[in-house]
Amino acid sequence: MLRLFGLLLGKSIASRWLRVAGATFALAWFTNLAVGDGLMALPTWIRPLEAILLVSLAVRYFLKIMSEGVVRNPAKTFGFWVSTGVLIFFSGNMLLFVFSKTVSDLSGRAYLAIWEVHAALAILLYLIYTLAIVWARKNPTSS
Amino acid sequence: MGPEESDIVLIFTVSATLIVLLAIAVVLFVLIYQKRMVDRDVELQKLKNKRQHELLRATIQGAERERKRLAQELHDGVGSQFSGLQLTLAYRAHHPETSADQAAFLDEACAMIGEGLEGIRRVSHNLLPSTLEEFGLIQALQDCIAPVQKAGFTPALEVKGTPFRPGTQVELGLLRAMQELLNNTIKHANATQVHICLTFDPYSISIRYSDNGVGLSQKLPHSGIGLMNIQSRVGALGGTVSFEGSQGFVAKINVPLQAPNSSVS
Repeated sequence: MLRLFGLLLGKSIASRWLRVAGATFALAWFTNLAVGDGLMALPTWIRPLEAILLVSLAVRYFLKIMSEGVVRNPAKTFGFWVSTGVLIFFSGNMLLFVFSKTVSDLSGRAYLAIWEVHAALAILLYLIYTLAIVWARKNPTSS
Repeated sequence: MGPEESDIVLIFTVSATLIVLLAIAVVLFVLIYQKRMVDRDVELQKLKNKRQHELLRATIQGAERERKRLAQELHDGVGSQFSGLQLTLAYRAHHPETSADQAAFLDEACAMIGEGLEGIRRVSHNLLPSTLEEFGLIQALQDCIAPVQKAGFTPALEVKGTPFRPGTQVELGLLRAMQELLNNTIKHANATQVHICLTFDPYSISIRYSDNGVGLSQKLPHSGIGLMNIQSRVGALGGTVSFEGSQGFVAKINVPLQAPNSSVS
């Protein structure tokens, strides 16, 4: 995703910041795996960190198209729909990611109910990704 | 599921819904903002183009006014004075007190003044083609190609459609364009034949100008300035112009008209 946003944002974001963000995230993930929650536990702070990073990049992309004014119709571009999907999915799931421990302690039915919300958002995300792919095929040069 | 768990599920569901709605609002805001910005840019560009168009038009009209003033000054001022001088010298040449030598000298001077007058008339006519105002574009074009015929070219003027008067600005613009093209052909083309086809359509006037010369690529660079002038003039009239030049030279000019015309000139 970082690579994709690197391409979408182009020169409006320094590639070294994306590399730093990627390296920091990878380091945090390995640290959490090694000395924190371990492989089998629910990642308590890694997912929110990922969500914040991706939502920030999606917002940055929106700010870029708004400030540049080059894209005449964003709804017909690949980048717009990818960013929309990321923004809706990761912001909608933020509470679930932050309170994943609390959710995992709930009974089966309550857990399932929250999981359904998550599943609905996942379906929405992939529907939006489909739109992005459709526009990428129709207009390969647009970002 | 106990009441406490129900509350947690409710809080999660409502919060997630609200956040998703907020995200959708952000996305819609981006779309609406971008549309407004694009509309504003298009509007600005239109205004800019209109302003440039008006400026160009005003510049050309100013130049034409100046040409007209200069032509009148030459014709009525300098031309009249030279005519008076020629008459005076002719009178003096044929005076009984004038010797044969003096008479010959004065006759020669009269002839030179006559040539000068002819030159002034020609320049004045080029600056202000009175034929255009009085008889229209076709007659003015015929006047324009007549000297070319004397220079050894074989010009041909063909008229298609029903002729009408599209207005002085359009006529003058087209005539100036033709003068420029003829000049280019005479100076740079090494051509022997020129063909002008003038087509009158109710909604537009178009001209196809062609010669059998060296073509566009081999013409001298300064002929490009003339072609740019033509583009500016035709652009100011809201028309289009295109040049082709692989085999001979071809210029196609089309000027759309504000309202359909049908009046015969």
